Amino acid sequence: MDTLIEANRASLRFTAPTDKKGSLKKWVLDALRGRVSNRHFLAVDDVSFRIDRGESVGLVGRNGAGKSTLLKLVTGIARPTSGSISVRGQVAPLLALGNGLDPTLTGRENIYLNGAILGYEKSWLRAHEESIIDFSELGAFIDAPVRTYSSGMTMRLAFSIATAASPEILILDEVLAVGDAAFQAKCRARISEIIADGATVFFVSHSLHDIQELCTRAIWLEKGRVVWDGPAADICPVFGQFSALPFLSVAEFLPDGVSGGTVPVVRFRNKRNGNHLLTTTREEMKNIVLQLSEWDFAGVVFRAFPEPQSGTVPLLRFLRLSNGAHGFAVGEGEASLYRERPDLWKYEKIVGYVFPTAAPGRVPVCRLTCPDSLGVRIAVGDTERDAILAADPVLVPADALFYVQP
Amino acid sequence: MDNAAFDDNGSSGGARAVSPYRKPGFLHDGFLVSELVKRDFKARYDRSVLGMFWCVLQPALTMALLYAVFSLFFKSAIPNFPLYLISGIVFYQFFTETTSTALRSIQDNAGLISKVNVPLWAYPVTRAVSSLVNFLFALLPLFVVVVLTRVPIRATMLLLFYSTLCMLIFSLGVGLVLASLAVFFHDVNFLWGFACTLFMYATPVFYPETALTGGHRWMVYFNPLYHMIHFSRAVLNGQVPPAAEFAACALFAVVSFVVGLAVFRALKNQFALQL
Repeated sequence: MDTLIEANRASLRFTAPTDKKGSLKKWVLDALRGRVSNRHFLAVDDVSFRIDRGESVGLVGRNGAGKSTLLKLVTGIARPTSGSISVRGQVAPLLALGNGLDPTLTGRENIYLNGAILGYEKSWLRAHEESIIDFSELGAFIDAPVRTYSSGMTMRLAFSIATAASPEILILDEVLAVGDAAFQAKCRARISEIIADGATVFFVSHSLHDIQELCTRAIWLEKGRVVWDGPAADICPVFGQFSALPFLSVAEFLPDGVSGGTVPVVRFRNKRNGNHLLTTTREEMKNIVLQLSEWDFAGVVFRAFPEPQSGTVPLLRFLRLSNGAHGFAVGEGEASLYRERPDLWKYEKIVGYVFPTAAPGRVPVCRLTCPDSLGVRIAVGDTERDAILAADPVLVPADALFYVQP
Repeated sequence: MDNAAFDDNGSSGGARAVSPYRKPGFLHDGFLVSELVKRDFKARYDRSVLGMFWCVLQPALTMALLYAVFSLFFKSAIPNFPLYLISGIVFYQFFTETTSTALRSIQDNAGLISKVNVPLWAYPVTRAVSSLVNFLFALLPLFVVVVLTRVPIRATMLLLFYSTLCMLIFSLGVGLVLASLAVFFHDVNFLWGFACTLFMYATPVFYPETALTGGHRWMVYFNPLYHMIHFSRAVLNGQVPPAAEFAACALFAVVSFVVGLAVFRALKNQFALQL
C-alpha cells in the first residue's frame, strides 16, 4: 500500500519554564545560578503508526492525552524531538475553523486571506470564489464584514474555504459541529465525498459516533502513548466506557489487559456518612459516577478475582434498607447472618472473590464498622486501618479480615 | 453539490488544469504575504471615517507637532531644520514601527500558528512590508516639506531608496530576533519600548549631529540608525554620500539580517509549542 503518513517512534518532549509566564528576570537569575529550571514532559511518547492512502483514522483519547500535539506533528506545525514523522501529500488542516478569518474583513476578502493561509494558489481561488460562496450559503452577506456574522455563518464560510479543494490528507479536529443541522449534514456529505475521492482522513472528535461513522480505524492515545491501534468499531465502545470511568487505568479496558486474571475493586465514599461502597462492574461505576453529588471516588482498593479460584471466598455486598449503607460479608458463612434478616438487609451482589487467609504477597483488608450507623469502611492494609482509627476512634475494627493481592 | 469547486477538483477529477495549492518554498508565498499585509491595513483603518487617508495624515500631523515643539528649541543651529527634523523622524519611525510590530508578530498570530502550518517568516515579514508601505506614505508629507523649503529636486534623491532598503533589511533583522525572543520572554515587549526611546535620544533625530562630540562620537559611529538617517539627509540635501557611507549602511543591514535569520531559524520550531 501507499503510505502517506508514517510515524516512527516519534516523541515530542515538551520543555517549558516551570514558571509558565516567560520572565526574562527569572531566566537570567536562574541562568546565573547555573540552573534553568524547566518542566519536561513527553506530550507524544514513542508513537509509531502508518496510515495508507484512503484510510480514515480516528484519534481518541482523553483531554491532555496528546491528540492535539500529535496533530501538530502530522500537520508539520511542530517537529518531533526524537523519532520521525513523514507525511507525503498535501495536508489540509481543518482545525479550529475560523482561526484564520479576520473579523474586520468581509467574507469575500476572507476567502483570499484564509485561502492564502491554507496554501491555495491565488488564481485557483479566483476561479473558485463563486463556488465557495455558494457552498457557504452566505449569499449577499459575503460582502459584509465577518464581525457581523453569526458564529454559524463564520463556521460555514471557514468550512467552505477549507474544503474547497480535495486534499490528499484531511485533518479534522472537532469540525463536524458546524452551523445548523442542515449545514452539518452538508458538511458530512462533503467530507464523505473527500474520503470517497481517496483522501486520507485524520479525525479527532469527542463524538465517538462520528468517528465510528467516518473511520474504519482508530488510534487510542493515553498520556502521549498509543495504547490501542485497531478497528474503530472495536475501540470506540471500549473508549466510551473508559472515558465515563476516568479513574480506572487504561489497562483495565484493553483486551488482555486484565492482569493476572483479576479485576480492580473500586471504592467510593459516601459524602454524607463516609461509608464505603465497593464494586467491580463498570455499569455500576457509571451509575455511581452519575451521582457524584453523593459519592466520591476513593481509589482502586485492591484486585479481586471475577470468578471463583481455588482457595478464594466470595465477597458479598448487602444493602441496609433503612439508610442505604453497605455491608460486606466475607464468604457464605458470614453472608448467612445478613440473610437471616431480610427485613434489614438486601443482598446485592458478589463484588469479587478474595482470599480468606494470609499468605506472602497478600494484604489484609479490614472492615471498620460504626456502632451507630452500621455503615462500613474498608481499610486496605494495617497502615490505612490505623489512620482511619486515629481519625475516627468511634469506629470498631471487625475481626473478620480477608486478604487480597494489592 | 452543484458547483465547480466542490465538483471538479480532487484526484478523481481527471486532468486538472491548475493545482489548488501553491508550490512549497518562500518564492511562492508572495500571495500569502500580500494578503496578510492587506489584512493589516484593512484591520487598522476599519471603521474609521478617513480610512486609508490616515496613512498620510498621521505622519503629517506627527511631523507638524514635533516640528512645532522642536523648532522652539533648536531653531538656529541647523540649516533647513524642518527637513532635518522630519527626515530624521520618518526614518526613526520606520525603524521603531518595523521592529516593534515585528516583535509582536508571532504572539499576535498565536492562534493561527498553533493550528495551521504557515511559513513562520511570513508574519514578521508582513509587519515589515506594512511598515514599509506606511513609510512610503509618510514620504508624501516629507516631499511636501522638500518643496516648501525650496530644496532643489535632483535625480540623486532617488538614492533615498537605497537607505530605505538598508533600513528595511536592518529593521527586519532586528525584528526577527525580537519576535523570536518575545515568544519566550514577554519582557522583551517592554524592554524594546524602552530601547526605542533610548535610540531616539542616542541618534541625532532632533538635535544637531555636532552635539555629539569627543567622547560621545562612538555613539554615532556604532549606531546603525545614525548612518542610515545621515545618509538620507545627505541625499535629500542633494549630495551623493561617500562610498564608506554606502558600505556602512549595507554592512549594518546585512549583519542584522543574517543574525536575525539565524536566531529565528534556531528558535522557530519551538514557537508553536510555546505559544
